[in-house]
Amino acid sequence: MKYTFIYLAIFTSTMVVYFTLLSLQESPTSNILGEWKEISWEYEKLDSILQKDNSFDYMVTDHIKEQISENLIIHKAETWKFTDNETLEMQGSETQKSLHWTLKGRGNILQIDGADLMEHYEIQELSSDRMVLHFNFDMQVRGIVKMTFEKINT
Amino acid sequence: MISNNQTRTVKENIQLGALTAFSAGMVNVISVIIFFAFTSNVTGHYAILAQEISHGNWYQALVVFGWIGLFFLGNFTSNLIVINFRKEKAYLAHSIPIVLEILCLLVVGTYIQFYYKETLLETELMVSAMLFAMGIQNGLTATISNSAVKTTHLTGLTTDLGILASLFTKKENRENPHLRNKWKLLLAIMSSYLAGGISAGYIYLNIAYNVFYIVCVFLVIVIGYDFYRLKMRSLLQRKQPYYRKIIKSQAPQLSNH
Repeated sequence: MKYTFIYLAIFTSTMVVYFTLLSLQESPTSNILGEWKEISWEYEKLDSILQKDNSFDYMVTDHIKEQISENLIIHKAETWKFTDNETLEMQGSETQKSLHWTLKGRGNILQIDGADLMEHYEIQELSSDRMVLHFNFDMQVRGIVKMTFEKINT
Repeated sequence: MISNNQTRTVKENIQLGALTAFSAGMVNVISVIIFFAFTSNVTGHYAILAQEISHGNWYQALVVFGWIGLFFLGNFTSNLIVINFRKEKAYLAHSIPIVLEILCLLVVGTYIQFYYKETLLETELMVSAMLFAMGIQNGLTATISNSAVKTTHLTGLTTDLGILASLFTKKENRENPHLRNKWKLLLAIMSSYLAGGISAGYIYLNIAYNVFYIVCVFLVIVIGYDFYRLKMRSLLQRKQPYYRKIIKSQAPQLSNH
């Protein structure tokens, strides 16, 4: 009886502490809401000997960016607006798209779908004012591109 | 397969290990495809927990901690049921955890089929249910096989396989039936887990969330096989005196003493 009480007490207190702490944290779903502006595209990892060269510029040029994103859903998007009805408005100088977004895993995967396409981006960092996304590419060289965003509107 | 835990044969362990590892492999791959989270890979979750803590991502760290906790709770629950009911009815005590596991997987499969809106909260809850189910299964198989079978513990399994492979470089070990049987069991679990994962990945393209129902069928086979065997045995004992005489020494496995 004594041990049953100890087990129940440990279980209950763990649950209370756990859900209290969880309720104090901002969920990635609410953190991502708002309007984000792309500020940079960089090579995060490259499957190439280029990496060993210290003079290699990790910033992705506009031309390469154009080529990498050509077949992607995010092509030519400069600002991304996440709304709470899971709609993602993407705006560029010449384009405007309305897509569907959702988070997967533990909030570390951003799934974007629309126009018969579905893409997944890995969320590396997500705070109230900064978001870093990674995605794999396989063009010319294999690697990971790091996209950094800054929040412009909540 | 599950009714006996005192004098288990290698065949029983291989049957149990292969079938449950196959279903664990299927569940793991399906969860990665649908939810982008592993459900029978707790070592990986510990690594992710450490990574999220070091990055200061407390929400994600708490979610992963909760998942690990549910796997723990699954093991706790199945063993609690077994140790409390085994003396009276071994078969029932071993079947209840599998029934619980089937219920968890049915809930997940049905929810995905009819209600899933792909929100993060739903994803987290579905993964939680699957980790609880995998915990139940792993705890049960480990308990009834006296820790010989652990269907989702591939790190330990690969370690044991590596150790056994090196032991087999000596002739006396190659001729040791205990080591040879262990090798067979581990290979059966490893290949079944892999086969389950591959087939789940392959058939998901055609039947989507119905994979969960197929996993449930495999688990029903696990409990149904023993039920059939026990029923047949008691029926034969009652109806055939000659058979009864032959199997006199073989006590029915309805309970363990």
